[in-house]
Amino acid sequence: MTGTALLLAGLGGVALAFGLLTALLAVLQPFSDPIWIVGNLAVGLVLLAASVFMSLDTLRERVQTGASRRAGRYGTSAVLGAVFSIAILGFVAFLSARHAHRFDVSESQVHTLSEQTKGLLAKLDQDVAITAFFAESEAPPVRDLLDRYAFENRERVELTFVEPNDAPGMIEELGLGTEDLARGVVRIALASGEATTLTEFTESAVTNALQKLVKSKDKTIYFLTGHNERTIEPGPDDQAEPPMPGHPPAPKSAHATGPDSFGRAADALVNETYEVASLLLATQSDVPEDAAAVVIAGPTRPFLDGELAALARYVERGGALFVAVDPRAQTNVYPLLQGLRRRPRRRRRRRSGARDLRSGDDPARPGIRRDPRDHPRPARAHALPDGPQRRARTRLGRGLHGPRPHEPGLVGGARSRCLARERPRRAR
Amino acid sequence: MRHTLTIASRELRSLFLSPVAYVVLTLWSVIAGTFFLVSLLTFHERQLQLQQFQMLEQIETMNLNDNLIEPFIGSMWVIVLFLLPAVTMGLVASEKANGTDELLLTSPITIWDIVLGKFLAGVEFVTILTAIAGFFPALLFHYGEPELGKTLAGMLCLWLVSVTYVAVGVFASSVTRNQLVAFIFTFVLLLILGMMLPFIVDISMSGSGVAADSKVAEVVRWMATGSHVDRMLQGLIDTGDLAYYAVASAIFLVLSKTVIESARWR
Repeated sequence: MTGTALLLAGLGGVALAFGLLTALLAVLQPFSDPIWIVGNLAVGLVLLAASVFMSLDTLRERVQTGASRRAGRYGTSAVLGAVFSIAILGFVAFLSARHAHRFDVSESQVHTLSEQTKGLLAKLDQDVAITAFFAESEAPPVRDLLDRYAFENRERVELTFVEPNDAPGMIEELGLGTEDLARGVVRIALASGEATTLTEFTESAVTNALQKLVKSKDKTIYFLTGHNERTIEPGPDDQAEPPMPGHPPAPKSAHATGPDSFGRAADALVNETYEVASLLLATQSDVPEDAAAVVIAGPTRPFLDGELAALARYVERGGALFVAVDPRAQTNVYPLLQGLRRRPRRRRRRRSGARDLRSGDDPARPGIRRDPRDHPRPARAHALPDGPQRRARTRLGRGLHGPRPHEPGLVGGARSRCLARERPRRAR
Repeated sequence: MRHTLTIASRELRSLFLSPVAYVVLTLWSVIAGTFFLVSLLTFHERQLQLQQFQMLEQIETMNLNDNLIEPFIGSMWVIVLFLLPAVTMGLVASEKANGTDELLLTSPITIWDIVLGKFLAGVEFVTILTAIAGFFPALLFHYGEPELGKTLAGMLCLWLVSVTYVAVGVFASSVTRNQLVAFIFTFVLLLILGMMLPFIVDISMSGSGVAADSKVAEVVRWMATGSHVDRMLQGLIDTGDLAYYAVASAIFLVLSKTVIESARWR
């Protein structure tokens, strides 16, 4: 083969390679011009044909001497062997990517999801589509986090990253605002159609959002109002928390933020997948059917007879009450609580010396708080030492596992303990 | 195996008989030292800035691994891409240029012995390069407390990338008898494999907005070395990434073996 023929063959190979590359890009980019593909392939084939034509003499000689036959036999064998080997290696790569394992060698295990999140992902019974709308430059930290979710349950979780500028139609369809898109948005959607969007990108935020979607939402906790109770509704004075340096301002809370309110307790319950609502019982004949529990947080005015009757009926049908009463308050809720006295249960055997957080202050009656009326104590002993906000926070911080021994005026039925056991612990 | 080791040791000796190895090692040391110094000064400056602005949260999150060692190794694997072709260009091409390839091909050794011997020589050389680069993060253990696991994972990543590039270099060197052509061919291949594949996907994706995460794009991204670096630098060792380096090296070695073997029947 002459030098010119070799040059033509080389150029032809390059043109063919360009043609194939353009064809590959056309698969990725539907707007590629087909002329480029056909043109490169045509030029490559023409140059190769010219090279073969110029080397006809050499080829003829090789055919006559049998060299070409030998080259064809061994060459085909070698090329097929190489192709076969590469195919096997490609299959190995595919399998290794599908069944990969990860080892987090960082000391603080920053690349590992918490056990709670892993448990939640393992129990998914429907497909979850996570779509992240991020500019490419801002995506990496969020990509790492969401990638862990997709990696943990590859069967159920599908992760997609979308550049906001590239998908205006999708953004319009989902109704995402420009302010959200500037910070980035993660949308989590279930196969059943339920979906939520996130603008906070921490593991706890994503897990909580997923938990809320996955878990049933028909359980509502009502906070009673109308007797000067601690409120959960935000008032005109409730402001957003001051922003941390270098962080965007936190969104205004959906609930009250005052120190005397139960707003943070309501926030915590919402994070635990419950719906939270205020209940003005005076305007209703009965406690709503979907009530998982009714919270009576520090009433200071007497209840109407109808209200007490409604609460009694609610408890009779198995409802759970959470009552926090200041003993100095002028309230007539005590007769209701007295009517809830229960027979002592058998003493539960303890597995260890550790205090069972689910038990009440009476070891013989686990889970049931003593009513102050049953065993009168000095009034100061029943006073709320830190206010309801502090107490609620402490209680919720322990995963709602039950009242602490020194918390006064707390009444819970069997159902409320059951609820406490059902609730998962919050993600780290 | 004995033949492989013999060829590897002979090839490594010949590398050090030429000035190329010394030039590469010197350049590598100077570049590594400069990058480390720049990373160190940047880290120090950033720390001072945060202290000045009382950004205590950010100061708490700063650490030697994420803010110094990771950027340092992240720069060094790109430098490998530029320097390694100079080492691998002569591995097979020099045999062809000197006419010693006929001796090799007619001697009682297999083609795999030749390919693996050349490859092992390159691997030994990049091990030296990695050790030199590793000297700088090792200094930090004397003055601070970086995480050992993350640091070792980063060094392992640098070594694996270099080993994969050696396999690419052996292949590029086997297709030509001209060392300069081998250098350019290796460089272009490494540039495509290491850096350009993700760009090609991203450029082709821009405007379409539909196929950014399609299977084809996923495969093309998987083929890029850069897609398998970040996780390991951050201390997350994925068996899929390890398999990538092994498979990529094996594919280029199979291609090298086919090309060298073709001299017997062409």
